Amino acid sequence: MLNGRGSWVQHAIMFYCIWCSRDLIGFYRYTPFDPWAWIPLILWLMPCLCSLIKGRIQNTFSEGFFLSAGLILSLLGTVVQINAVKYLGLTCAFATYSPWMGWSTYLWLFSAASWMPALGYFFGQKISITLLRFILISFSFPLFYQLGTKQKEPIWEE
Amino acid sequence: MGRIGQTILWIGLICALILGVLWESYPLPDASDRIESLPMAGEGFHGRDVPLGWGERQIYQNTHVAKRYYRLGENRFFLFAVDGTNNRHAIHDPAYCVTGLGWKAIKEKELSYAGGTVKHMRLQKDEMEMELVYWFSDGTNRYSSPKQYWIHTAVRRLTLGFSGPEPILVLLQSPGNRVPDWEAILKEFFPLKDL
Repeated sequence: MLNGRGSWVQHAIMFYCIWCSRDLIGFYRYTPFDPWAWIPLILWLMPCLCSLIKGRIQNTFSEGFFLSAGLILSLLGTVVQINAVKYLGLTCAFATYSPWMGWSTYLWLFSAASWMPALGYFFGQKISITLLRFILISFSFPLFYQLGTKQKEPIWEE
Repeated sequence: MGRIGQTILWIGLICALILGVLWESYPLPDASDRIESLPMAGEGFHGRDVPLGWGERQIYQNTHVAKRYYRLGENRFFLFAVDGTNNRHAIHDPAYCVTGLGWKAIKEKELSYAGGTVKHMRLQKDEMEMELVYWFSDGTNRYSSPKQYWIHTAVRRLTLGFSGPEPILVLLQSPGNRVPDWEAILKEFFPLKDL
């Protein structure tokens, strides 16, 4: 345990999930059809970065679940060579860094779809993919608002 | 999270690292034999290799690819066959790729072929038109659904290749605006049945 900066195993699993999802960088760099896909990822990561910088990473009841899910999905995605599965694993691992603030955190988790490459494949021909990505990332704004106004203190494990 | 929980996660992480390395280094049987056995010439047809462009070489790294230009009677067409055993990510949904490159599908239909289905697309971009016929084949089963291909290849990787041979992407493309008779090609160009 690192006093609000997470545990070593949490960082190790995070690093493993990032390593498994490294193709994401190639997608953002080279995709000619979806040039703004990286912006939702930066926005989506903000709550995690804030927690990390402020040294306020929580140990919630769901930390073990999300770390296990991140590990299993990243391994499964590596084995079956399906990137979307690895990115779900990455989402689970990042979730352990986010402030846990009830429903707004669930919305933030849902908004992870905004930075996933598969979104363009499944919906890109029906709607402007850039617009769709920004609509989805807006689901994370309630969490930003709560964090900004400090209306509600994060739920800490007793 | 308690000390026991953290210990379990450390063990899980070490297992994941070991399993990941073992799985990735296991040599899956590939489909290169099927691609290499594709004849350059035969009864009523002859072809030639077409070099891959720079972009294609980047996309198809670590794959087995055949890109040929064939003439069968009056019909002329390009043939791509790609085996993604060692780089499954190189195999994309052709319908998604071409529309992403600015082509618009003006006609799409499924054709029956050798006990399966193949997809026929007519595409338009500015004044140009092009036709594609594509499918995935493991030598026995033929289908045009990329989702079926992902499931097929995922199961094959999970079972270390014991579930059956690797499916390959077979794509036929019209040269420019000259549209060949696809039904005649599928019927008369017999090497396709061995892919």
